[in-house]
Amino acid sequence: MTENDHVYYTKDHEWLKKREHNEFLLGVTDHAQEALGELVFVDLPSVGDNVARGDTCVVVESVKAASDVYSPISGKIIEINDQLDGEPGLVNVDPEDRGWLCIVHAEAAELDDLMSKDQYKEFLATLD
Amino acid sequence: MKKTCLYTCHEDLKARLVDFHGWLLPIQYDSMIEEHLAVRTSNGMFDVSHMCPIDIKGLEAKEFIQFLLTTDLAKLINTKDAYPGLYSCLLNSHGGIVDDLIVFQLGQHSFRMVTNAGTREDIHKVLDEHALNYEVEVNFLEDYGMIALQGPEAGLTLSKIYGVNFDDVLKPFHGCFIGDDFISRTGYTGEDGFEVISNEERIVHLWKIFIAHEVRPCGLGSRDSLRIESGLNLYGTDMNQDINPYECGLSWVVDIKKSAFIGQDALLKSLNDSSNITRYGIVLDEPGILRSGYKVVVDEKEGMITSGGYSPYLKKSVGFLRIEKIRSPNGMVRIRDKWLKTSVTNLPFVKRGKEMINLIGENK
Repeated sequence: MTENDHVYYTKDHEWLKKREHNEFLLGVTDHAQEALGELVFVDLPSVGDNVARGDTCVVVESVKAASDVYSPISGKIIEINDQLDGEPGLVNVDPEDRGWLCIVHAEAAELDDLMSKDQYKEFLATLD
Repeated sequence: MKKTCLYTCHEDLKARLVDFHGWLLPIQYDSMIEEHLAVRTSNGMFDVSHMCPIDIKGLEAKEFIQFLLTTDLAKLINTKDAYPGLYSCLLNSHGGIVDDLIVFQLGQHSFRMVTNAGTREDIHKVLDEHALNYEVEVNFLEDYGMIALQGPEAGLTLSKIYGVNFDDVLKPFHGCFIGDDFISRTGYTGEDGFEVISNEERIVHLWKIFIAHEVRPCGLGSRDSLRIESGLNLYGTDMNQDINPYECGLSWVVDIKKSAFIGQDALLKSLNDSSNITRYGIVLDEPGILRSGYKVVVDEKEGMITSGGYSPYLKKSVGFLRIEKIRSPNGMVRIRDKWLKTSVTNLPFVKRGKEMINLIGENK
């Protein structure tokens, strides 16, 4: 199993990285940050918030617009990336690593509808 | 979608293009924030070829325009070398704003108006309707382009290119012809700046010369954040056919006692029954971004953000607030499900590169 097997993607350009104990790191993809442009504010949830699959759990704001980030899974927010408070541009610089948004503790892994990295790449190719 | 004469220049620069009132225009080239700061600190340029210049000539041109606009054309003082201009509004009979525009007097019986792209059809209608009553000829200029060169170094750049010292030649809100180029000291950024109208070939040529002089190409994104910092309304967002000039910070363009003009009666009436709606600046005092449409409460009165966004120069979020007249500078804005603290201010937020946030009720 390679590392990529633990990362899942959505058609809304979120990524979800599985860690131990049903914990998932959530972020937006490079394609998303590129389309959004320079982020100037990230509105993060509070630790302890419950999110349902498909709910808005983070709002990322660029100079021009606010965009919702949907949680691909249901669960509880157990950690948020505080660093984004002072440095929202981290999402632009390093969207799939240091620019992570929050960690969701999932009740159950609902990963069936999500894409692998290769599938997401193919999906991106269909968008142009 | 319509393309301006500079379309291939934008493509060459890999600009991100968007639909703006039916025109395909750059929203940004590279970084909106850097484009914004270039205009505040050096100079930048915008393709504004979608804007619509209209020439009006004839023995009764002055009377005609006097009837169209809220501003008294007596304010246009002729100078020897330059054509004076005025910012003004064209209203409907209810006093609502059909468009905001700049009018220049090119001669005793000759004027040029520069109007917005999105209002072209509405303006056409009003002009067609009333031109019949005057001895005038109205000409919507086609096949023209327009570039706005803006920033503290814009004068220097333009002086080098034309070999003319523009500080001697053009005062703010004046225009002149150099060859086929109509150059005015006007803009939409709160900085010193110029707008050049010319034939398409010339505009493409000038764009390339500006690039060679290291002028930064800027898109609609930075144009929007610059005009918000400068307290300048955007047609369709901060004003429209249901909003009169008194309600959106434009009292100063209305010369209510001048000769008859469209919307005058309605404005006079509104002064008496005074709806009391006005426009303020608003600053968000907590992390977040103000956006158009957000609800604001001040002094138990409810208002709305009409324009809002991130200010790259002030590094916080600012906007315009539409609300009844209020006294307290302390308001709350609803962003998603939270109420956040705001301060109500006078406008502009930035003038000629200087930060000037004044809360309402404070002495300047």
